[in-house]
Amino acid sequence: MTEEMQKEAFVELVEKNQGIIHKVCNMYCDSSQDRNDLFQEILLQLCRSYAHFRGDSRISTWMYRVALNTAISGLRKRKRREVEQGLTEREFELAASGPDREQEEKKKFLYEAIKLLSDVEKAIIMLHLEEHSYDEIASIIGITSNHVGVKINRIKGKLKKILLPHFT
Amino acid sequence: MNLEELKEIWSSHSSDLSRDQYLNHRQIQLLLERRSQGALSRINRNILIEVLASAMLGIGLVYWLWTRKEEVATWEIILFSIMFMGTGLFYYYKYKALNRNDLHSDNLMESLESITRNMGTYMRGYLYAVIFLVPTLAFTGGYYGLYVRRLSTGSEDPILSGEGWFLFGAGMLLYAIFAIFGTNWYYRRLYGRHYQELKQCLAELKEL
Repeated sequence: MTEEMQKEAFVELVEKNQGIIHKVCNMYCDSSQDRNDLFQEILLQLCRSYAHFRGDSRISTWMYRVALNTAISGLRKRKRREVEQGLTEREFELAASGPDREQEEKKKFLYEAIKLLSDVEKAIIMLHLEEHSYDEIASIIGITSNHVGVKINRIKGKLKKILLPHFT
Repeated sequence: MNLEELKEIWSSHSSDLSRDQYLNHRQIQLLLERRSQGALSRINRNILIEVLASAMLGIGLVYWLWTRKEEVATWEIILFSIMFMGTGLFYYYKYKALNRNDLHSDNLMESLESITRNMGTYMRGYLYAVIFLVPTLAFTGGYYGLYVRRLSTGSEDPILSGEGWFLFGAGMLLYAIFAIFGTNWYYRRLYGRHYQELKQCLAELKEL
């Protein structure tokens, strides 16, 4: 495969699976500028890694691994820009205009609750909500499956405490 | 609230957001062609600029000394060459220490361990360089200036008097203290917060 073809295949792969990168960026950034910077950084890291990707793991596992590594441990300056309200504004608009206001409120609270967690907890719960198995989460995060289970129980407890008043 | 409900809400919300932020084939290609805005890429570019500036300065100075071979001793040319080669090696080490991290194949724990170790090494290396290299270069440069001045005036007096040595030594000491504290402050400001955050993440991962 020529370099050009490989690049083309990579762009197609990202186009199909870009939701993963967006989810990580939304989770770890507050402003659109930060999100765009992180998106590009993850894209570049994935591109560098693509040539070595042998398909030993699922595409989503590989993408989450690189994306979370870049978001959490990449040397990235978190700019103290204005914290954008776009996300919640949009949700409020939807909530006000749509018939399922309750559902939109729930989405907002869940998202805000997850954003209150630590970087590591965000990563674990995000992978869990994305239906990754304990073994896959363990291989992305680098802890044992048992440890993943313990962490998830703790995070659920935390989320329950935050969300319970809004979900009853 | 149960887990299935959470998963359902999460999935619906993530799909909404991803749909809004969707990038097409061409936009992804353009992003790949753009220069990285990441902090590491910026630091790498700065290192390259510093290396080029030092190399030009070094080559220029050694060439200038070489053209004045009758007035300047060979040891001086060799000394300056070694000093500039040392500076080059320092930049190489700095570059390697910063770019040793592998965000592709390591898991999060390995990645955090590696980046905190490398950042620690990089920060210590920079501090040691400031403590030892900078005062040495400043002292050698200052002393060499006085030496050249004596040569040009043809004076037989010692390069520095007792009082001169005292002032020179005190100046160097003050400079070294300022450089050490200044670098510490600069590093804490530039990397300290990020370094602490990474160490905290690592500690959280290891905690049972």
